[in-house]
Amino acid sequence: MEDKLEIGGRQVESRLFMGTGKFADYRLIPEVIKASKAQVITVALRRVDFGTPEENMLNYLPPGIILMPNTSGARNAAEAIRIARIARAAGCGNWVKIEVVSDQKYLLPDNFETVKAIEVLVKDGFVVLPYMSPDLMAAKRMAEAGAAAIMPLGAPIGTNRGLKTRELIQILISEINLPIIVDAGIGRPSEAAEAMELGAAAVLVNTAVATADNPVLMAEAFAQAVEAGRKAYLSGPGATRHFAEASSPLTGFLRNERSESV
Amino acid sequence: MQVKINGKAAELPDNSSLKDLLLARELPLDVVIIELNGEIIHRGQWEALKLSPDDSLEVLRIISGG
Amino acid sequence: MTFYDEILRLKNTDYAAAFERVTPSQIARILAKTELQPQDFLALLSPKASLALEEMAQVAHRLSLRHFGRTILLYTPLYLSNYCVNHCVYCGFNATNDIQRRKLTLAEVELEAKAIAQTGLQHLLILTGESRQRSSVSYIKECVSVLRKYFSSISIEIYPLSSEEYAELIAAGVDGLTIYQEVYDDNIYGKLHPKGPKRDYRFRLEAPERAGQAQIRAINIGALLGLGEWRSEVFLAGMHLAYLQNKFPEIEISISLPRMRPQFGDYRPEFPVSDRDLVQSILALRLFMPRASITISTRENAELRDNLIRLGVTKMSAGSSTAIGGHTDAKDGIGQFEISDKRSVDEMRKTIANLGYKPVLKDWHDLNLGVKKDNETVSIS
Ligand code: SF4
Repeated sequence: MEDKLEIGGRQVESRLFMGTGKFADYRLIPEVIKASKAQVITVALRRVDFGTPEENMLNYLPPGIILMPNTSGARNAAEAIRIARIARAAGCGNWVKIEVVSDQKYLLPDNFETVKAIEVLVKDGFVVLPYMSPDLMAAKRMAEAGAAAIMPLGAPIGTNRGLKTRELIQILISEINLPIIVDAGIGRPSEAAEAMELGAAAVLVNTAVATADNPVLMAEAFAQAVEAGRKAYLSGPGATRHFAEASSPLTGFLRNERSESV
Repeated sequence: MQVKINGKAAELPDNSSLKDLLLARELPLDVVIIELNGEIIHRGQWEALKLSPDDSLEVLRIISGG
Repeated sequence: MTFYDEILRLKNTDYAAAFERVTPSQIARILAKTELQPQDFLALLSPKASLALEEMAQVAHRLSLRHFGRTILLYTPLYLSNYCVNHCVYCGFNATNDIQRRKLTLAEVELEAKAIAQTGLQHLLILTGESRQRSSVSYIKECVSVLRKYFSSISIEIYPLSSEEYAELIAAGVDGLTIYQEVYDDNIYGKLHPKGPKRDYRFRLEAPERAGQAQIRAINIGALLGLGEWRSEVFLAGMHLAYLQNKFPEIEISISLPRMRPQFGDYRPEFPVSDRDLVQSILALRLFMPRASITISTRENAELRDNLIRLGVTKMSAGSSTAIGGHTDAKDGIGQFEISDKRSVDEMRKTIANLGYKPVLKDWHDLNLGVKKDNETVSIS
């Protein structure tokens, strides 16, 4: 069955996006990517630390994937714009995950600054995927500003707490005419499946895989869960009834309807 | 002369080019991205570009991230 | 982008094929969903969905309770003028009909206002035929300046205006717009509107958006059932409603489903709509747009109207007369259409209360109005 996800003019088959942070060893990354089948991979940008020699992580990424640098570390729109431009200059392509965090306590994204950054970067030719707090009005502004997808958080980043924002994400899925990609918070494959069943276009996972005892196996589990959730969504799950049985009939009056002559 | 690299003061021989600096610091040339006084400097310009006193440099690289 | 572009896109809908694909389990799934997509709405309008009418009614009933509580807002129409330059073949005020034409003087408007206000009603819908000359925007403005002393909400149902004209009327005290496309199928539209400015399908279709840009508080749209195939007409009207809700989230939106009634002249609806069809339309709309008001007028008979209350209707006209001066003049002139539910406002209030609902006379108060009302009877709660 043909079921590709299209973003910014590119099509991907895998609806699992992988982050590459927090892995104990870069050498795990290619194996994890392979097991996850992910085609969109996030990376970050940092100042070079002159004291410690580091390996070039790009060497660990397989060819053919879409690199999506994030703007982590940005506290406002201007910083996010700057990071995005540097990442593009570094050869990361034109995709960017906007991540503006001005709150250091909960690490929640700043939707207002994010909208501003999108406006500038879209004009600059970027394919912009904003990470955001699931708020309908903010998502609408982001869509208007030209975002290519919307990436609401399922729970605060790194908490592995699952789809805490389920109701709000559901509203975004219904109302926003862009792929909704659940980013952050998903801790278990079952939660990824849940997001996909709701109608999310994809999920982005990092911590849950990177911190598993066996990250490669966990990546595979996520790949299967995302696929299962997607298939369930496409096949239309059976109805769960909201009420046990019909109370007094509301349409009984129609039963003896004569043929109407108007 | 004195310049600023990643927010810290550093001493460089006068007339150093950007590339001289990178080599002196043993940085892998294919990995880093340079911002000079807020502007991205593309790789091709590194050799020709001479630094001036009080220049502010940001030397960045792609790392893993989520 | 306006809804006209949407309509062009929706024109390609293959209704027969879409209805053919609907399955009972699909209907069951839709009834369990929290947010419906356009294709779900369409499925609920299918012949197959009519087999699940009671299930749809149960869900619609719960949704209506959740969003509106047990309330029915009452309003009444006030016809200001029946001059009309259009030739809508289905309408009693049609320019070719030889009826007595008249428009109310401001003094008469005031008399009508007093008579209506006495019933306790606070929401008024003023109507005119389409004649920019006889019932000009400035005439309507003058009427509104009289009426605003008596009513907390004044809606207009007149010929389509420009955005600037809507803004003018809003400044004068109008807060709601009612405008029916009558029929969304543009071929039928062309046939039923052979002459007059109303021929301009697009100008009428985009009128709610122009009022929205002028920041009107409430918009009520609708299709006149009987003029076109009801399933597609209700679908397009519902899509129009969804479009407006999306474009103007701050505006209160409503939809009416007036069914063709006999009137002066001899038009017979080409696509008759049964009670069952009407109920299915209302239920599908309620499920698709849980927060939109649904209006039912006195065109429908008392018994049916009472039964519709629990199904998702939230607004009703009461004590209506469709004739000019009909609220004060005992010997009714010829109306635009015939009233079927002739109960008085008082009777309506009692009936609604007996059904366990609260008749609401006022659900809005303009804080900026700054006009002291002579007969403020309902307090803001
Ligand atoms: S429907 Fe309106 S515009 Fe058409 S003839 Fe009647 S009053 Fe005039």
